[in-house]
Amino acid sequence: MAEIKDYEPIVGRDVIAGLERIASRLNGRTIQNVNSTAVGGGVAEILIRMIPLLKNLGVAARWNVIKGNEAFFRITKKMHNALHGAPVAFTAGEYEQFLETNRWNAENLALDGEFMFIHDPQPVALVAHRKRADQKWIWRCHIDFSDPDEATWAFLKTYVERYDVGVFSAPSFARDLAIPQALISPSIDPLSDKNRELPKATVDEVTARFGIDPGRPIVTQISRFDYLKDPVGVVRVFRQVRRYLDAQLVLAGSGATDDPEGEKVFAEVREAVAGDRDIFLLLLPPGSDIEINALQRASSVILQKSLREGFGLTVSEALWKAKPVIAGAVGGIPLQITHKYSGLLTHTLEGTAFALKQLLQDPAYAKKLGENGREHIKRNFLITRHLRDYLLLFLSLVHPGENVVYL
Amino acid sequence: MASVAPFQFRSMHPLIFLISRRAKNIEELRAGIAEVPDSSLFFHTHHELHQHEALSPEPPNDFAFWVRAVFQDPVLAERIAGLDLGALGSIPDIRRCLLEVIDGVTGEDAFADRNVPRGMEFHFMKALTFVLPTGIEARDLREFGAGLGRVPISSISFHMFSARLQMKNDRNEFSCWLRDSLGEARLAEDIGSLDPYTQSMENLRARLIRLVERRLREVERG
Repeated sequence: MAEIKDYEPIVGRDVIAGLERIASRLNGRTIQNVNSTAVGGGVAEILIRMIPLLKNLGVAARWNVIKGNEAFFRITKKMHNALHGAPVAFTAGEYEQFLETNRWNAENLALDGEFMFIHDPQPVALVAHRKRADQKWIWRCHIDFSDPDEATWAFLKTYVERYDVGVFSAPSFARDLAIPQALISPSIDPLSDKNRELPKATVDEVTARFGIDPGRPIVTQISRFDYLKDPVGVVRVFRQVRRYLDAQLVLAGSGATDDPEGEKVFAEVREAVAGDRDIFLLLLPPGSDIEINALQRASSVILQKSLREGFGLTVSEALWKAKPVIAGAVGGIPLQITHKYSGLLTHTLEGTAFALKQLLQDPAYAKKLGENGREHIKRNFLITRHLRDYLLLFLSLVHPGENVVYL
Repeated sequence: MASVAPFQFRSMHPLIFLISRRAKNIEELRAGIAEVPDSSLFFHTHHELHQHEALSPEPPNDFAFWVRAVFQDPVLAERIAGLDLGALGSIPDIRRCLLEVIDGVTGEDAFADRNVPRGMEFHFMKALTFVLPTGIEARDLREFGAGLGRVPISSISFHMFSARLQMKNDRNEFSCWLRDSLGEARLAEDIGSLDPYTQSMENLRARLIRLVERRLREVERG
């Protein structure tokens, strides 16, 4: 696992020294993270990397995962979709099961951190079981909240407003809340297997293993098999483009333990692909980070045709590899891509197909977009910036009501 | 000779907060500018300068960017972008001038009351600024020049902008120390007359260092 000093060659000594100074001001206070899955999905990925780095900086950080049965995760998946705007209705029994699972976890986890850092809606009701008055509770929302189902939001809001601060990934997710709302973008780790430099031999081995021809253009979307990532739309885009240009499409993703819908979506995509030999549908097992890294590096263009998005870390991953990216202008994606400067933002299937044709036919333009994108990610979306924001967030709770804090 | 209070280089780290206020047209943008806290106005007129350290910041503030890229009024955007922030001594001055510019254009623009599509609204935010010592300090002009070359880029931003506008000093902190502690009134003036809003922070750092080196050469020549 990387240590904080390993990031110095990438971000510079100033950044690391700043982190060390800020971390020292926490004076040993404990940070307890709680979420709902240990593997799969952006939240677990970032916590896996971040907890050791926080410890490395001398911060007493730990991480607990709540437990729940299949029914609980069906409810939370439904909740996830509702917060993305899908019109769903919950029964009183479902709400009760949700709260009961939170209650059980509150009784079985030692919720005694000085800063309780709760991620996403699944464990949101733990705050109702706050044990110490001097604790600071932080709710970190990683999902697109711009147009939630109102009834679902009304239910969750009663718990969210019991926190000391809410944290959102993009400005458009701001809600009318009685608590302060911090804006903190997530990040990627440049030293993780998913993002570190790879030898060409590794990239070649991975493409060969999946039967992808590295001599022909490769268009790739890396994402969970989820309706909100529009994988069937990607297949349609590719077919529009292939009428004019030779290319291969790679749709690759792994499942997450808290997403029971994935298999159904995968089956629908397989049906849409219908045996097309230029489309590679890859359901990768958890931990396939080197494969994902290699597929991104082998790609000519990367798509992230999301219909809704929390942040869309795969965009940062692709840009960090200086790849040209075409992505839906949703959630946190416009924070990562400035249209026509560091990538292309689209709103429709037709627009995505048009942009893809442009980039496949103008490699110099595509290259420039990728290079600008990498620079933007380096400055704003690496894990070191994320660590700094979290440390400042904890410190902000110790300095309420101030506009300028001298540390 | 009396001992000189050393200049302590500090760095600045903003933490951004959303303030649940949006604007979908110029009227709402104007109302927001009139009413949001000073920390919000400072954030929207300065954070781009800190985020784009190596690039020349363009456009220089969030209001101009939104009006141009989203609301698509290039005339108003250009006028907001062209505000001479360096000549404005306080956030209330910036607020007043922004409102004057908007009032001047909306009076003549028949499209001023149209709305942007849902999801494209301007989001007002503010920043909580954390200030930390860098551990680098200067007791004379030579150390000051060396410090300018070593400090994190956010230190340049902090001493040039934040101290003046957020802490309500009459000028940037470099100029204050050079004038009051070293008696370098002309160098302080030269630094005070730089326009930090139309160049990247790294360019600004290089200019500051050149001014200090020029003064050091003058001192050496006697």
